[in-house]
Amino acid sequence: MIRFWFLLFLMVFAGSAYGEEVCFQCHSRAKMFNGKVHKPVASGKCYTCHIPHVSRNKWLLKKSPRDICFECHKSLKSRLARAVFVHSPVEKKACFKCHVAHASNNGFLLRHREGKLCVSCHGEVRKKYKYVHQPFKNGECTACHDPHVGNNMVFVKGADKLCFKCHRNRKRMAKVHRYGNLKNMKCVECHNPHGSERRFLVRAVSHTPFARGECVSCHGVGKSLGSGLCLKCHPKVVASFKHLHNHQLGRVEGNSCLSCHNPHVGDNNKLLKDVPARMCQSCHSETYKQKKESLYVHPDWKNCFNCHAGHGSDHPAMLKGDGNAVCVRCHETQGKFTHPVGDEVMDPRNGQPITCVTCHDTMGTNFKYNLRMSGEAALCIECHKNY
Amino acid sequence: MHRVSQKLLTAMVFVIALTSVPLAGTWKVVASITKGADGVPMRYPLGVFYDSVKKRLYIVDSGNNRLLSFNLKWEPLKVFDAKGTLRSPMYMARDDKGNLYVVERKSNVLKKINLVARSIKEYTLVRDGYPVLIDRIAWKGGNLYVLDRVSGDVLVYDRDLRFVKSIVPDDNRFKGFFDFKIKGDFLWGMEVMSGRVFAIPLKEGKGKVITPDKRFVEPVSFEIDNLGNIYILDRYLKEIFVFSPEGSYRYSFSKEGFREGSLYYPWLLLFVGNKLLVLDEGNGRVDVWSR
Repeated sequence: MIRFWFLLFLMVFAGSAYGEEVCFQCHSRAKMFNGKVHKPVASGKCYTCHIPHVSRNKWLLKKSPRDICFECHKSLKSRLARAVFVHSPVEKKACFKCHVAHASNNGFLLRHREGKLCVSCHGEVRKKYKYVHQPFKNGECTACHDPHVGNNMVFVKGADKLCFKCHRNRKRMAKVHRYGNLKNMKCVECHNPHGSERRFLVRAVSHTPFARGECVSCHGVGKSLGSGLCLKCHPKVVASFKHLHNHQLGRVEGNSCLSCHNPHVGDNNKLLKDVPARMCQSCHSETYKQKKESLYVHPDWKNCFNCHAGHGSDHPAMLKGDGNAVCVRCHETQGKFTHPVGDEVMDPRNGQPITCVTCHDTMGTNFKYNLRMSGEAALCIECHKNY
Repeated sequence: MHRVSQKLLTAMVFVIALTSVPLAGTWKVVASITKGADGVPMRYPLGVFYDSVKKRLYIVDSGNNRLLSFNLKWEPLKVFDAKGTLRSPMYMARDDKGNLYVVERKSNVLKKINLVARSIKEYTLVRDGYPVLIDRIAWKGGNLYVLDRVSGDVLVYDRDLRFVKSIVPDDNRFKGFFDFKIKGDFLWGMEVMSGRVFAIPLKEGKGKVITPDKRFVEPVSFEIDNLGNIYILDRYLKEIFVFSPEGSYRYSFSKEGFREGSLYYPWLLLFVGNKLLVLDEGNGRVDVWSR
C-alpha cells in the first residue's frame, strides 16, 4: 500500500520535473532557455503542448499548430470572435509566423525584433522621411497597432484617441488647430503617423485653400449641398461624373467627395485618403471578403483604379471599358486569340455579347484563371449544352 | 376535452406557420423583356416608366441610346431614338400634357420631347447656382421631381423648370436619397447605402422612416406593394429583400446568374399592378416577377 501511494506521489508531483529531464536528454536545454522563455517551457511542462510518444500533429503537438496556442491563450480567442478586423496571420491561426514557441530574445516571443518582423510582410511602409514619428523610428509598431485584432483596417488601437495618450498638451493642440472640441479630431487625416517631409508630420500635399488659410471658402458655406461645394471650384471634374454610373453619393460623409478625398492635406496629388485597396474597402467590404474566400484572385487586385474608374463609368462595376476592352489592355494575346468574344458572339443565357467577365471573375473565385466555375466542364456546358 | 384543445392548438400553429412564412418560391418570372420591336437586344437598360393612362411601359435602353415601348402583355411596340439625337439616356417620365422628359447623363441635360409638335428642347438644372446632376425623375401635379445625385436631395421644379424647393427628411444623419417614388400624397425615398426608407408628405402631415433590420451592400432601388411591404434591391448581392411595413426582414429572392430569374448588376424595381419589374443592366433584360 505504501508503495502505491509513493508511486502516485511521483506521478502527480514529480511528473513535470521528470518530463523536463527526459526531454532535455536529447533536446538542447541551452537553445530552449535562450532569452525570454515561454512559461510552459520555463516550468518544464513540455507535456502542455507535446505528447512524448506519438501524435497526428507536427512536432508531436497535442493539437494542430493552428489550434495549440488557443488552448491557453483563451482571451485572444474570444477577442478574435468579437473582432471586426483580424490580422491575416491571426485569422489563419498562423501564430508561428510571428512568434516562436520556446524562447526568443524579443518580447512576446517574437521571431524577430518588432519593427523588422512587421516590415518582413509590410514592406510598403519602409520609407525614408525627413521627419519621423518616434515610435516608427524605433520600430515600435505595436505602440499604435494591435498585431492581432482591430476595429479598423489598419489595426490602430483606440482609433482617434490613441494620439492623445502621448500628445497630452490638449490646450496647445486646441489652440494650434483653432478647434475647441478635440474629441472629433481625426489626427491621421492630416498627419502621417509614420513620417513626412513636412514638419509636424503634416502630409505632403495641401489643398490650395487650406495652404492659403482660406478656411471660409469651404467652411460655413453650402454645407447642405454635398459635393456641389467641391464641384463649384472643380468644374472640370464634373464631366468625370457624367456617366451612367458614378460615385456621386449625395451627403455621404456630409459631402461624398470626402469619402475618398481629404479636404486639407494628403500624401498624393489627388489628396486620396489612403491607398486604393484600403480606401475602397471602407465601403466595398464584401469585395474584400470575396478575395479572402477565394483561391484565385487577380494579381493586380490591390490597384483598384487600374480597372475601375474612381468617379464614373458607363459600364457595370464602373469598369474603365466593357468586359473585353478593360482586360485586353494588359492581356493582349487573349484579345487576339481566345474563345470568340464581342458584339457578334451572344451568350445564349441572356442574349448579351460574350466578354472576358462572362467566364472570369477577377475579384476572386475558387477556380484556376479566376474562372466562375470549373474549367473542366461545368463552365463550358453552361452554354455548350451538347458538349 | 384536453385532446380536442391540443389538436386545435396544433392546427392553429400549423396555420400560423403557413401564413407567416412567405416563401421565396412564391415569386416567379412570368416574362422577360429582352428586345425592342426591331429585334435588337437591349444593352444596359437603366430606366423604366409606366404610363398608367395609356397602359404602356417604356424602357430606357441606355446602351443603345433609345426608348422602347411595350404593352401589358410585355410585347414590344415601338422604338424611339428622337432621330438619333439621344445620348446616354438614363431615365424618363411623361407630364400630364404628354411631353416626354428624358435624362441624358453624358450632357447632364433634361430633354423635353413634344411628340405632337415634333420638337426637342434641352434644359440644364441648377439649384441656387450649384450644379445638379440629374438622376431619377417623376411628374406629379404639374411639378417635376428630380433626384440630384450631387446633394442626394429630391428637387422640385415647376412646369417651366424653375426650382421650387428641395425635399429632405428631417434627420441629421440623412445621407441623401439614391432612389425615390411618388405614391399618393407621399414621396418615398431610399437612403444611399443604408437602405432606410423615408415617407415624406408632399403637402402637409407627418412623415416616417422605416429602417430595415438588415445590412445591405449596395441598395440601389426599392418598391412598395399594396400591403406596404418594402422591397429593396441589392445590386452587389443580386437579391431582392422583402421587409414588413415596419422594416422587419421577411425573405429574399433571386440570386446571381445569367439565366432568366437570376440577376447580374440589377438596377431598378418597379411595380406595375401586382407584377414586379426588375431592370437588370448586366443581363440586358427586364424580368417580370409575379406570384
